[in-house]
Amino acid sequence: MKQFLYLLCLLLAPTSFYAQSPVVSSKITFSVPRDSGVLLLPVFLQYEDIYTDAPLNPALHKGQETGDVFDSLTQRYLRQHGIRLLPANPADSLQGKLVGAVKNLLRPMVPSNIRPVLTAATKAAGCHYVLVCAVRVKVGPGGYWDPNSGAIASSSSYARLHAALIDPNSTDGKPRWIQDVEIRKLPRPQTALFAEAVQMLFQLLK
Amino acid sequence: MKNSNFSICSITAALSALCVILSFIACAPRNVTPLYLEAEFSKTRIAEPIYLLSFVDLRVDKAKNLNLDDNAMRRLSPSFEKKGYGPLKAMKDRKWVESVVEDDFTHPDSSFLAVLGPEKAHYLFCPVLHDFKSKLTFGSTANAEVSGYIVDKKRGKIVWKHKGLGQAGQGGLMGMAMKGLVEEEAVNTALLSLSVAIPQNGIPKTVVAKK
Repeated sequence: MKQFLYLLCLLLAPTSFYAQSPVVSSKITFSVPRDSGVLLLPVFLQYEDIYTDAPLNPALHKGQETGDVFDSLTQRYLRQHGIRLLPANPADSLQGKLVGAVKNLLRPMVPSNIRPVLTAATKAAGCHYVLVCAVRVKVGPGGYWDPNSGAIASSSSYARLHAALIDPNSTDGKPRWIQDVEIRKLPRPQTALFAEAVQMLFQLLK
Repeated sequence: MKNSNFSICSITAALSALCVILSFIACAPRNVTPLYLEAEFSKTRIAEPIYLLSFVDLRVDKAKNLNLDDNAMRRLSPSFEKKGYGPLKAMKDRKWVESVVEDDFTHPDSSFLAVLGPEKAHYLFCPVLHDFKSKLTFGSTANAEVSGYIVDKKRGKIVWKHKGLGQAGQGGLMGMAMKGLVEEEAVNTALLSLSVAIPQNGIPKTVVAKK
């Protein structure tokens, strides 16, 4: 009986590993023309309580480190794939305005009041696109095991990585390319899982 | 001696019974303050039927078909009736919710809300599935995160909002065999925690004055 249980655990180990691996939302590829530059805005971090959607302090969950690691992994990955990236400079008046409006740029339709700033900033920087990214984390109760009843539960926390490539000249205000990746646990910036998730986020941006 | 033993036993039995009753009271669903309730809506008596739209699916991976609409109708409609509303009218047509995104509820636009759902409707109940995951290891677990919005179509406003979370699981071989049940329990728990925050149907001042 014991041997049977060990064998069962061994057989099921890959299924539990599979359940932890990141998942992507879209399979749409977008090719950035080689002569086009991409203005990269700093990642937008959002930590929320899963019950109330109330904002939480990112510092309590290594938020700053997560943002820094995300930005550096993004730059490294996209440059390796031949995309001409220009990280936005918050000190620049136009780019600074965009950095301040990241939250609005993440919406499915870019608000019309930001579009002129978007056009002016990309023109001044010599870029054709703006890449906006976000790490949204929902923090909820963790997993448990009750030895009396045998009840178990998995952690309800998860993180969604989001990227949108915006063309300032687009007439409909919709991003040209969108991708989402979900990690089914709190993001730990120094882990292989987080690096894999960032890579999956941009693997269809060529 | 026999008498004292008997009295100790009877006290223990009474205490056990009291514990059981108290635990039932503690576990019974009770009214919960919703995350958002418009003051005007809480005072208005709703006589029209509330239309239940299909679930807005905001999951990243939508591969698993959860068949949530029937479940929502079964769980939510009795809760609405208990709170003094009429039975919900289920609208199974997904055409109204196919293009809805999270932003439509977090940054509501009155012109969008005014055209959401069937034309004849005044109030809509929009359930949203944010996340669902199930896991099979040596046992099975499932988590569900849902939220609900009551929309006043005529005013183009969200008048009520709440969220529900369901965590369920069972260890061992039994748990593995019960994966489907565990998934259903997670969804039902989330819907139940959503339904307990539905406000009591308001009583208009005119009716109170007549009495």
